[in-house]
Formats: sequence, structure tokens, C-alpha cells
Amino acid sequence: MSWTDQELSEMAKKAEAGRAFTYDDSFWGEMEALLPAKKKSIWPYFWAIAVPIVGALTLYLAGPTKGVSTSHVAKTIPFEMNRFGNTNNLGLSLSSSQEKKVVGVDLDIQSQNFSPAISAYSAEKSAIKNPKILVSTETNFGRKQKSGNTRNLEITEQIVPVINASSSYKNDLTQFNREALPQDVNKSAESEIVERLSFAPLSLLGFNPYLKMLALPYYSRRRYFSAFGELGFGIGEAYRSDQIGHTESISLSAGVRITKNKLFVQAGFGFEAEKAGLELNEREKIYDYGVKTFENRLSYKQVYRLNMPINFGYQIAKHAIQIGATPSYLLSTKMKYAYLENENVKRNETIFGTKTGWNSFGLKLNLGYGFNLFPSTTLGLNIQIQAMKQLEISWTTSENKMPISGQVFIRKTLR
Amino acid sequence: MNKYIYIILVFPLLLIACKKKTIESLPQSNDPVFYLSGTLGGGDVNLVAGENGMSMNHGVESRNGVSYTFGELTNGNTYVKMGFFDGNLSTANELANLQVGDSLLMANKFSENLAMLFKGNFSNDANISNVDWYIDGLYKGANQVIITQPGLYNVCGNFTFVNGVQKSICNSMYLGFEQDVNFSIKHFLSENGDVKLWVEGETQYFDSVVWQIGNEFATTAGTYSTNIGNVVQSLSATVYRQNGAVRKKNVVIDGTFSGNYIEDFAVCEMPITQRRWDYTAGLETKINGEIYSSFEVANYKSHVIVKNIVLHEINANGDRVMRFTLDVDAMLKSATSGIIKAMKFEAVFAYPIPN
Repeated sequence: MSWTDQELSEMAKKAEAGRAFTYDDSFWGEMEALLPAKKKSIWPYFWAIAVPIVGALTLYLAGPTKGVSTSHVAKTIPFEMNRFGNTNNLGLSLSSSQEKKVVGVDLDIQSQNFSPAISAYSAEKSAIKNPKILVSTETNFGRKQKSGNTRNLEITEQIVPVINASSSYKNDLTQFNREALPQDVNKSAESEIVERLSFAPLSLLGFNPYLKMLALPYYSRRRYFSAFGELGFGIGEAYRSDQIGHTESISLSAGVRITKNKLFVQAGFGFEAEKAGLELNEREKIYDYGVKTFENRLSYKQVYRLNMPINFGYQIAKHAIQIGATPSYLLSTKMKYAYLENENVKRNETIFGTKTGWNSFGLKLNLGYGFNLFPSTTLGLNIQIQAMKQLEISWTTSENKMPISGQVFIRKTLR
Repeated sequence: MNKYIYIILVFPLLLIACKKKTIESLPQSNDPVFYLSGTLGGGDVNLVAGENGMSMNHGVESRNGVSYTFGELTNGNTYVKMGFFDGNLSTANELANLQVGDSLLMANKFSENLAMLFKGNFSNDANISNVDWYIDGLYKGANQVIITQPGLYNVCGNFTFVNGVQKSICNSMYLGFEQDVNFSIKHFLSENGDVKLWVEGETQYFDSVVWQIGNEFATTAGTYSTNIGNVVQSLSATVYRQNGAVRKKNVVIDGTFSGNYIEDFAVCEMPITQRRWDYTAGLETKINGEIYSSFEVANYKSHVIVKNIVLHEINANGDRVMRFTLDVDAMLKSATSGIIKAMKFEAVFAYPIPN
């Protein structure tokens, strides 16, 4: 059984009846999510550059990023509509070069062969980037459409880039997965489909082009949770006030973010490697007829920590400010170790894992700023202050009090 | 997402899972054990074993035949050496008998000669042509040798009599120290060769006297009578005192009545009025390149107070090494300038006590 375009249009209308949609920043991000990941060629290269810093193996395991963002999306989606012959269909194009607020749209499908348009829409990035998605002008699709062959449509509340089959998409019919559709759809079945589609989760979009198309009207459901990965590079004051130098660090973390309106809170769990450049020295004198000296020289090259950053923030357009704290636990170290007796070197080696002289726990307070460089990518800066003593007082009394560090981070929303 | 979790979790786990090498555990530092803190001529002197190359040496050395137990803080260029002479030289070293609170005297310089080895001191000097003197095996001269430093000397004299007879005997001489076995050998020789021998001195403290004619044992009687015939004969008496002290003296008697006898060397000892050096202390130092010594000063009012005695260790020889805390007030004389300076200090020194 098959439907006519008119029937499908009616089904979609019923599914949308009475629903109000509001614009959400995540629209654009989720629109991007519909695109095949392999087309997002920038991110594999991004990670390919960033991740080697923490290890080539890590890079290999990580692979190219497939994440999409619902929290970092373009705010507006401009449409350009073209009239197509007698059907009064409009060609719809999505362009990021213009910014017009999407306020809403109704759906009217006039062709029973709607799937090619969806296929094109979902399978080809160019289908969105270029004006090949057709939208009927007969179904109140655009409330502000202008006359003429080419017109701009400002859509409020919701994007529904659907769709009328044009001759350019006839061939795509073969790609439609008809098995996913009910084979014997009557009126009740139609209602069922409409009902089902009314609650179709957006996450199904990647699996069923049929549902994908019809779920689009529900795109407006607000997403509160998102996951992200973050890579940071930091530089800070030396641990000891009597030592010249600074620390350098690289961190990799993942976390979740909860967004409520413009406020967000995010918590993460990550790993940090820091070039410490810390010299600690322990010397004991045993007096007797003369003196015997025993000395441990600890030259910490790197320290490794687990970080658990928690941030609260406020998002204004592409800008975000955040404050938070980062509890940390010292996992391990790498140091050059020398042991001397009466100034004679008895041991001289590189040691991993010793935490002598360190306090295991730390707490950094931070104030940060982020900028949405791309819809799902944030570039930011954190200014951090270490609030807890990192060195045992028995080893040094010259620890820098509340050393300041700065961190540049790049955050990629993963899902 | 799982990959990121894997990376973030597994990599740190690998870091902490690897077997760790540990650093050495250092012993706890302690305070300096041996030190000296005081003044010399008004200038501060602070020496610490373990600082500035200083170390604490200790031992027992012989000074003119008398045991001198010393402790010395030194780094080669600067030193303070303080020791104690043995006393009651015929008995064992009694330094171990020192008690906390004991006050010792500094060894003072003797203003008089302690002995004059001179044939004129012998009653038969008219029959003695020449005497060659040896002290502790070293030839010291003929006819007259003067000893000024206290000590226990082994003195030998090769006597040549005017009739050409030669005879040699050796005796120990306790000079500047108490002679806790103090006696002299007396004899009476009759014309028929009978001789009567006895000892004079603190005989009430003697346990026994062993007489020897030549190298032959004769008797343990206090008085010994025999006939030596018409010969020149050496004999000896070994006295055992009740306190365990032992001393042996040799004499030569002449059965030919030619005056070829040799008396006890005690005739060469000078009477002294100053106190002996038994259990006295000595102090020598080199500070700022100048050497000072307490032995060159009278030091009548000087003192060394033993404030504490602690066992420090048993050394490799099995001897005890004691830590003495001393309060010292002494006069020292510069060996180069002759200037006398007071040195006062508190010190902890190490002294071995031989078993």
C-alpha cells in the first residue's frame, strides 16, 4: 500500500496538530548530527594533532570524533526558497552565511515519494548546504515567504525542511527503506503512525529514514544533557618560590553537561600530565666521630593526576563564562632520583610512581571563559588557583602559596 | 564516548599499576655528639665533629713510657687534643675509675730536673771509670744525662770500672709519677763471701720479694743470705705489692771487694717537690696555625671537671669507648710566641678504656 502525497501531508499535519515549537540552540547541532560523520573531516585532523601529545596509542584508540552537539549550535537557520513549476514547491536551502531566526514551520508533503528528499536531506550534507530540499509553499510552510522565484523564508519555532519530491530526487526512491513502513496502512494505521511519529525520539533519526523524516517536527524537544571531551594546555607558576621556572600541563577529560536555559553545570573526569620541574631534597646527618650524610635528591619531571572538574556557567550567545573547582588526585610521577651517601652517588635512576614529598589531593579554583568556535566546539581559557598545599611541609617550606595557572582548553561536544 | 572513558581511565590505571621503585629511607638526623665550645685567650673556639672536616679521634699513646689516653678533635689544620695520664704506673690503667664529679689536675711543668744519670751519684764513683747511658734503648751519652720530663724510663748503664771490669744493668725509673712500689735493695757482704740481702721501703704493703742471682731463682724470703764467692754478681729483687703492683730492681755486688758494684739507680733520682703527673690531664691545641700546650705552663690552678661519663660504644677491639663531658679551665703556652693564654671550654670527647 502506498500513500498519496496528500495523504502523507495530512498525516504529518495531524502529527503536528496543536503542537507549539520553540527555537532551541541545539537545533543546529542536531541538524548537523544528521550528517554523516565522515563528512566532518575537520575533526579527525583536529584530534590527530591534539591527541599525540598524550600518546600516539591514545590517538589510535580514540579515532575520529563522531560526536555531535546539541548544546553548541547555530542559533538561526536561514532558508532560501525557490519555486518549482506548477506544484508551487519551493527549493529550500540552509545557509550558515545568514542568520535569521527560525520561528516555526508547518509540514506539508505533497508527494507520495517523499523519501528521496529525506534521503537527500539526511544522507548528503550538500542537501542541506545547497538548495535541494524542497518545501511546499501550499501548506503554510513559510509564514513569511515572499513571491518570486527565489525568496527568503524566516521560519519560527521549528525547522521542517520537508519536502516534496522533485524530479531531481526521483532516483532516490530506490533508497527508501520501504520495509520499515507498515505494509498495510489504512486510516487506523495512519493514525498509529502519526501517533508513533509524534513521540519518535530524535535519536532514531540515524536509523530509519522514514522516522527520521517524520520525527523532524519533534526536533524541538529540549535536550538538557550532553557529553563532551576536553583537551587543555596549561602553564603555571613553579611549585616552589625559591625555584625559577614554571609548570606546563596537558589534560584530557570527558564529562557531562546539564543545560537549563542559559545556565549550565558540567562535571568531568580527566587525566592531566604536568611538567613539574620540581626539585626536592632530603638530607640527613648522622653525627658520631665524624658525620655521615644521607641524601635523597628528587627531581620531579612529570606528575600525573586525575582531575574531576566541576563548573557552573552562563551562556550568552557564543560566549560562556564559568566558575568552578577541580579536585585532583595525584596518580603518579616521573622523577630523576639520586641517592648519595657522604656525597657519593649510590643510586641514580629514573623512577615512576613515587609520590614522596607530595600531597595526594589538590583543589584548583577556576574562572573561565569559553567561545563557541564551532557549533559543537568551544575554545576557552581558565585561570586557576591551587587552593591546597601540594607539597609536604616536611620537604619544603618554600612552596608557592596558591600558585596561579592558566589553561587554554578546547571542548568538543560529543553527543 | 566509551573510547574516551577507556583512555581516561585505563591510561592512569596503567600508570599506577606498574611496579614502583622506592627511594631510600634515610635515618633520622641527630645532634652533634662530640664538640668543643669555649674560648682561647678571649677568642671563641667552637669545634664540632662532623663540621668543617672535624672528626673525633681517640686512642691511647705512650708518652715517655706512660699511657696517655686522649681524645682529639681535628681536621688536620686545627685540633684540640686532650688526654689523661695513667697513674700508679705499676698497676693497670685506672682511667676507667673516674667518676662523674671528679676534678682532675692539669699536668704542670716541672721546674726541676727529675733525674741526673751521673756516676758521681754512686758511692763507688771513684772506682767507676765511665758509664754509658741508654734510655729506652737509645744511647743518651756518657757520664751524665739529665731527665726533665716525667715518665717511666727503662734506663741501662754500661759501667766500666777503673780496673777494667765492665758490667751492665738496667732498671726502670719512675720519674714525675708516684712509685707505688718504692723500695731499694740493700746488702751486706762479709769477707768470706757471705752476703745478706734485704729491701727497704714500704715493706708493710709488700706481699713478697723474689730474689734472683743472675737469672737463677733464689728465694721469696724477705731477707736473703747466701755466699756468692769471689765474683762480681748481678742480682735482682722483684717486689709484689698488695695492690697488685710489681716492680723489679737490679743491682750488682762485688765478691772480690774491688769496688766494682752498682747500686740501685734510685741514687740518680732528684727529690721533687711538685705534684706528680698521675691521672693528670694534658691539653694541646693548634688554632689559627699556632700551637699551644699545657705542659709548658705551671697550671697550678687549672682543673678539669668530669661532668658526665657515658658509654658510647664497644669498639672493634672489644674496648669500651666512653663519652666524657668535661669542663676545662687551663693555661696554655704558645710554642712559637711563648704567650700564655687561658683556655676554657666545655667539651664532649671520646676516650677508650682498654679492658
